[in-house]
This record gives sequence, C-alpha cells and structure tokens, in this order.
Amino acid sequence: MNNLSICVQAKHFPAVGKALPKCAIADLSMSVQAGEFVCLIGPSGCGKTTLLNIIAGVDTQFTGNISYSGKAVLPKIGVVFQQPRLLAWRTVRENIDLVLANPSASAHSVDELLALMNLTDVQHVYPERLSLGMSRRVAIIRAFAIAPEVLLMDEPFVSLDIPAARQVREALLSLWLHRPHSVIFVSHDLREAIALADRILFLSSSPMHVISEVKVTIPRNIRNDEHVINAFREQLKHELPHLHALF
Amino acid sequence: MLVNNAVLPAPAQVFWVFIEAVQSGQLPHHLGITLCRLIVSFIVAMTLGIIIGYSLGRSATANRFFDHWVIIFLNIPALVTIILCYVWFGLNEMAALLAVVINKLPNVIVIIREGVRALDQELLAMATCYRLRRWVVFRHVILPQLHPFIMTATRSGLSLTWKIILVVELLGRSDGVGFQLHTFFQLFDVASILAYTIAFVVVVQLLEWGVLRPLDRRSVKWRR
Repeated sequence: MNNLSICVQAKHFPAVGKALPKCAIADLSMSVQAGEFVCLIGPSGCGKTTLLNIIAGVDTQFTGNISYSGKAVLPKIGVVFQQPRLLAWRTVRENIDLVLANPSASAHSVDELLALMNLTDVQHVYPERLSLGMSRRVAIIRAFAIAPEVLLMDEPFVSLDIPAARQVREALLSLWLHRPHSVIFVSHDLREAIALADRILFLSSSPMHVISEVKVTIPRNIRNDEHVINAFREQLKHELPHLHALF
Repeated sequence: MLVNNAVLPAPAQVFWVFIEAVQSGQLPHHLGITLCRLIVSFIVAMTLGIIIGYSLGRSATANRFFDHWVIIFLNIPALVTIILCYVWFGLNEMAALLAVVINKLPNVIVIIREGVRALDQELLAMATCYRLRRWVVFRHVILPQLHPFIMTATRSGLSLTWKIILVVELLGRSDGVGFQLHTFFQLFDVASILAYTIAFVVVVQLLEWGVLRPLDRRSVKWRR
C-alpha cells in the first residue's frame, strides 16, 4: 500500500543570539495509510508546523527519514498553510494555475473546485481584495488542484468565523470523500479533529513525540451531530486523563 | 555688460543656440553617441549587477567573501577608475564603457542584494512544497518581489551613469556630450552649455515618462 511513514529521530534549532538551542522533535514516528485522514493535536508551539515542514520537504535539516510506499521519494504533496501564502501579484486563478503541471488540462477540475468553494466570481481578482476566509479557500483549492497523494493542512480554519469554518470544512470533507488520499491535519480543536479524522495523534510539548493515538469510530454520516462529537470527546477525556491539558 | 551676457545668457539666446545646434546636426550627433554609450554600459551594469547581487543575497558564504570588495568599489572615486581604465586599456571605447560599468555596478549589487534578503521566505517555502521549477519560481515568485528594487537601481543608476559618462567623454573621447561641454568650457560658451543641458533634461524626461513610469504602473496594478 502507499503508506507514508515518518520517522524523525531529532530536529534541533541552533542557538540564535540570546535564544538557546532547542530540540524541537525527538523520537517521533508515525505512519499514515493511503486514503487515511489523520489529525495531529498538541499544545501550541510544540513543533507541529516544524513537522509539516519536514514532511513537505521544506526543512531537510533533521535526522530521520520519510518514506512513501517503502521508497525515500516524497509523494506529490499539497499543502495548506496557516496563512494562505498566495502570490499577491497574481490573480486567484493564476495562483492556482501556477502549481499545476498542465493548467489547460486541469482547467475543468479547477472550474469545479472554484464553483464548489463559491469563488467562481472572484477568480480573476487579486488576493489583496479577498477576505481572509476567501484566501484560505483559494489556498485549499490550490492544494486540491494538483490531485495530491498526501495533503498537509496546518490549522487551515484558524481565525475563520464559525459559519465560514463550517462551510470550508464541509467542502474539504466532500472533496476528500470524492477523491480519497492521505491527509495530515494539524489542529488545536479536539471537536474539529473528531469531526474530521479517522485517527487522532496526541503530541507532547517540545521535544515533540507521539503520546497517544485514538481511532475515531463514529460513522462519517453522523459526524455533523454536535451531541455525538461531544459525547466522544467526554469519553476520550475519561479514557485519557493524562491528556487533560490538550482538551 | 557684454561679459555678463556671455556668462548668463538670456533664455531666448539659449533657445536660438539650441535650435542652431539641432539644425547643424551637431547636438543630435553627440547626444546620440552619449545615449549609445549610456544604453550599452547601463544594460551591462544592470545585468551583471542583478546576477551578482542575487548570488550574494542568496549565499551568505559568497557575501562574506565579496562584501569588502563591494564596499571598496562602491567608494572608489569615479575619477580614479576612469583614469586607471584609460591608462591601463588605452584611450578607446572599451576602456570608456568599462569605466562606466565599474562605477555603476556596486550600486546595483547593493540594492539587489538588499531586495533578495527581503524575499518572503514563506512564499519560497510554498514554492518548494509544490515542487515548482526553478524558472517558474524565479519568474513568478522572486522577480515580482525584486521589481521595486530593480526599479530603484534603474533610476539611481541612470542618473549616476549620465554623470559618469560625461566625465569619461571629457577625459578621453573626441565625441559625445561630455567632449562638447569641454570644448564649450574652453570657449566660455555658456549659452551652448545650457542648450546641451536642455537637451539632456528633455531626454531624461522622455525616458522617465516613456519607459520607467509604464514599468512602474505595470507592477502595481495588483495593489489595492
């Protein structure tokens, strides 16, 4: 199977000025199956973004190895960052086309994604004219448009209001159900994680490693029910008392 | 009264000298030659400056090594490089152009290096994640961010190049505006000096409105 296995023995940040050297990640290992949706939950500043940078191939200064289906080659990765990271000098459409190998061949699927995210009207607008919520949706389309094998998402719904976050979350889920692929989703909100994930990994504060993992057994068709999510959360609280700080 | 007239000629007199110089073909000839020198040395200096400045901005090691040299060349008086170029390479066109390029280059390097250091690292990380090809990254991610710095280097560079070219021509060439000004100086012909200055101002304005402003406008159309 095309599973992604991640093993980071150590990730250090050297001392800069008065800041002491820091060991961000130590002995972290995890794997993600093909088509699996995994949520990472950990205290703020524990090194989740650092881990995503390592998986995405941006940060290569670490000891350990990342392999995809047994090979040391990175899969095709789509990334949604905490900030949208759009090019301000390119329109919405140009931003999406930029990451595509063959924009004209993918034009139809990009049209569909834009329609799904309600962005068809603004596709020729420059990102500075968009609200943050719209920019985030563009960033999500960009990640989906390349048809990734692995999708990395770093708190993509932060600072969206509740209806906007729900709308984007539902769009994300329907896209993922439509074309299953591995997702690693960083969150600080346990309810959100329960609503989305197949499996939740709890991470320690730095140096970061996996403390515990939980399979979410709720069927997907009843996950938009608040009560079910809350009940599962209470159950987790009860079962994992040592993780109380993360809830 | 006569002396005063020669030292500070009336606008009408300058105007007629100007018309005369244009009609005789003298002014277009010398201005054309100076413009050619400007274009060649400017293009060479900008191209080299962007390449070197980009490399120094990206590589801390290269920068540590070359930083002193950039500072030294930035501060060597223009006259020194011009004289040395003529002495070492002879009173020829190549030496003249080389002197202009050497004077202008450090200026471009310093500005572009600053621009490269200010590049948005988050956007570069995004480009790495999506495995964008080097050329695509340069053209769509890096170049638009460097654009204001390139425009600054162009503007400050053009004005600097003008001034240096005239000195280069005055010292070692037998044509060009600098050579003409030297001749007029020896004849104390202030009216002609002012006439050539007017021609200069006109050309600079044409460049500003015809080339630089449209480039500026193109780069800011995405701003709110």
